[in-house]
Amino acid sequence: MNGSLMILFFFGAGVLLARLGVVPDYFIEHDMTLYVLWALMLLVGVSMGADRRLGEMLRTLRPCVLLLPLATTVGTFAGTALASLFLVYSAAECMAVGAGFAYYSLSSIFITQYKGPELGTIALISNIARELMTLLFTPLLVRFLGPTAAISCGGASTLDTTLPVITRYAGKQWIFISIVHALVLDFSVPFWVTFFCGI
Amino acid sequence: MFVAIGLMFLGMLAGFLLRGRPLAAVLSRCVTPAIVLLLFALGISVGGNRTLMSALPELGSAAVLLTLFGVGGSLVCVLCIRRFFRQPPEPEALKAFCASSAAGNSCSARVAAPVDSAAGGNSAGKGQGGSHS
Repeated sequence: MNGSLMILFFFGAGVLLARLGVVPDYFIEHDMTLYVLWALMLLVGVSMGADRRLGEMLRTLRPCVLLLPLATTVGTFAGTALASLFLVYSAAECMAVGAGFAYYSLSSIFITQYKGPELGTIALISNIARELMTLLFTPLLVRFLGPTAAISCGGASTLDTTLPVITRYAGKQWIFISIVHALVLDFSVPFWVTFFCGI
Repeated sequence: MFVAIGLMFLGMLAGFLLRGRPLAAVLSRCVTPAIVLLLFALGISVGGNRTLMSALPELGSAAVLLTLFGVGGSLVCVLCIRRFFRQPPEPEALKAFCASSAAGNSCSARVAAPVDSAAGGNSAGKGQGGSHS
């Protein structure tokens, strides 16, 4: 949760500073974020390539375990596409927001870059809300719909921020599937978000 | 878009080659500062944009609507496949993960039993099935 607070703090600090007019116009007019984004992509790639866990998991995995991240992906896309009927944004834009799977930092940056700060802000709020929902409702979800529902609700956050609460209410035996679920979604976020921003 | 994806693949290759070297860990640790910096920039562009600031409540409700539909869709799909997960799958990989992670001790002890009991068969679920039903 510390990480989320820090990210919200920096976002809020940016809003506040710009509102107060402290930020020089140069920064508002000359957008250098594209190059920082490219650097970030390179760094994300390095951390993926250097991570041994994904390879180890995949080697010992039974295919049935991948059903859960698949269900989360399909369900999220179907749900957000349906939501686009009630919003002014296109189905692809709504699915790009959903494709963050509670991984708000990376997805909102991408969407800002490709679709502008309006949809980027929506992605930030929407994905933080997904993480908060998981933190708050995991006990209820586990009780009424089962542990897999809670893990699916958590999206890509079940590896770090929401793992403790899922472990507590679903039990330790669900740690493995929770981690695999989050790893698969984590690695798919950059692809899905850029894909939906591109179409 | 293709530049970004291409850079990511380049990074993955570099990360794979740098595996186990200290440089890979240092570079991985730079992800968070880069993300924070970019979100700070997003904050600046939102705060500097009057129309966006006045539309913030609408953006917030659109965001929450998207979250509810996304989570709702996920839950519906999960209910369809839930029957494959009567028993949580616990393959050997968890032992490896637990051994390498800080939270390891208690959970590797928890996992050891079912995996050992199913050692004859090829899946942990098979070994546990009898006791459940």
